[in-house]
Amino acid sequence: MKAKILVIEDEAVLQKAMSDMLGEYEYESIQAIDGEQGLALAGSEKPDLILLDLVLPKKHGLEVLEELKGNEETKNIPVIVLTNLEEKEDISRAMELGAKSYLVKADYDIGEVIKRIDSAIG
Amino acid sequence: MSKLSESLNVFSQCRKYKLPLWSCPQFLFIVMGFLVIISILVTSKAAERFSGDPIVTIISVSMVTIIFFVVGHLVITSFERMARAQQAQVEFIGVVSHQLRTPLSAVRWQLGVMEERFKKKNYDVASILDTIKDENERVIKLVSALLEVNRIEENRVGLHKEQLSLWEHTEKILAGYRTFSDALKIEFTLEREEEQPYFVFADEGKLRWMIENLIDNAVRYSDKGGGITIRLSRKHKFFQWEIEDHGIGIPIESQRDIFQKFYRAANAQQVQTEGSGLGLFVVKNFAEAMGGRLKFKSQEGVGTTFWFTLPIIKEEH
Repeated sequence: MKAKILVIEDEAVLQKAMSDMLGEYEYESIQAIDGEQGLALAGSEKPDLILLDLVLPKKHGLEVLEELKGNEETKNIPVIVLTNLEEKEDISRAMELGAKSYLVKADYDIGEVIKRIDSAIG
Repeated sequence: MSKLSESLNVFSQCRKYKLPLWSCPQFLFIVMGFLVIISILVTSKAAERFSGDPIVTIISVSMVTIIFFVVGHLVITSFERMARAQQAQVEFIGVVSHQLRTPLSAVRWQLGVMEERFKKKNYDVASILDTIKDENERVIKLVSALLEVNRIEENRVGLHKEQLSLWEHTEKILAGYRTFSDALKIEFTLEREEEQPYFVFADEGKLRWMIENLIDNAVRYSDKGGGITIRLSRKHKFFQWEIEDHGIGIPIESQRDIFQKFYRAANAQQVQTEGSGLGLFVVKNFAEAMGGRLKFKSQEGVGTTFWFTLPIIKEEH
């Protein structure tokens, strides 16, 4: 069975590239374009992994992460933060809240992100 | 040695920071130093000469105190200005790094997808190439905006003015948006008060920039299904170009800062995370450079109307 990845990303172009790439690697992807939609889909779709941007409309990514980890139904879903913010405070806050890893988009090829997903899902 | 003499040369220091003398902390400190010396001398002389008259001493000390307050205020103000410039620089780096990194990351990722497809002998990449082209355009636009900001701040806005019809230009630009109006789910209306071309004397590139930026903002912050109306009218010796949307509006507490560069209202950031906060700053400065003004009225949750004016150069034909 294909693993299901929820991509919470408001930037349409990045969202599309990630979904296309996940498709190339036989993953099923579902898309959310803001924090609230991301939380709703995490609850209803129970994905195997979440890729989470931080700068999001409606609800900031760190709030989304906090709510995901505070909810019994979603707290065990691994979350990879994928953002262009690289402030020390953001990184440590995300890791404290329980993110599996924190990747800066501009530093990673999309193929490397896929490798991280592979190893996070096992 | 030359470094020491340069650091002691107050005038060259002030020139280096492009500060006028009376806004330059180094110069103001020297003035302050002279005032301290003079005030000590004057106070001691006054006390010596009018030792029997405490009123004179009180007046002279009060005068010196007032002068100190004034110079002290100038020093603090100039430091504040420098601190604001420093803050602007920090904001600049923040905005530029985030706003440039997003399209650059998008290009990188799209190239990654293309590479993966090529490995599998899948050459269906036309839409990827289109996206890369669009993202490249986005980077160019942002860099151009930054260069315009730099020119504005250095008073180097170059204008190539010519006679232009505001009506024709708006129609032409709006035609591009109408192509996407179904996808945008926004209906555009273009109106004019009088049946005439609305000739102004303006720089075509800058006028286009102004109109496109104001339409972009109206689209970005409008509710889906809402309408956008553009109106042209005459106001005394000016033609007025106005755009009205029924979008999120600008909160009252943000209205004062809306023309500050890099500023974005909190509700705008909630709806659209992307945005440099440079558009309105540039539009306002372009309007003023061409002899007009940019103003707005807005109510949060109801909508916003922006308008700019440009001087009339010709009676209607």
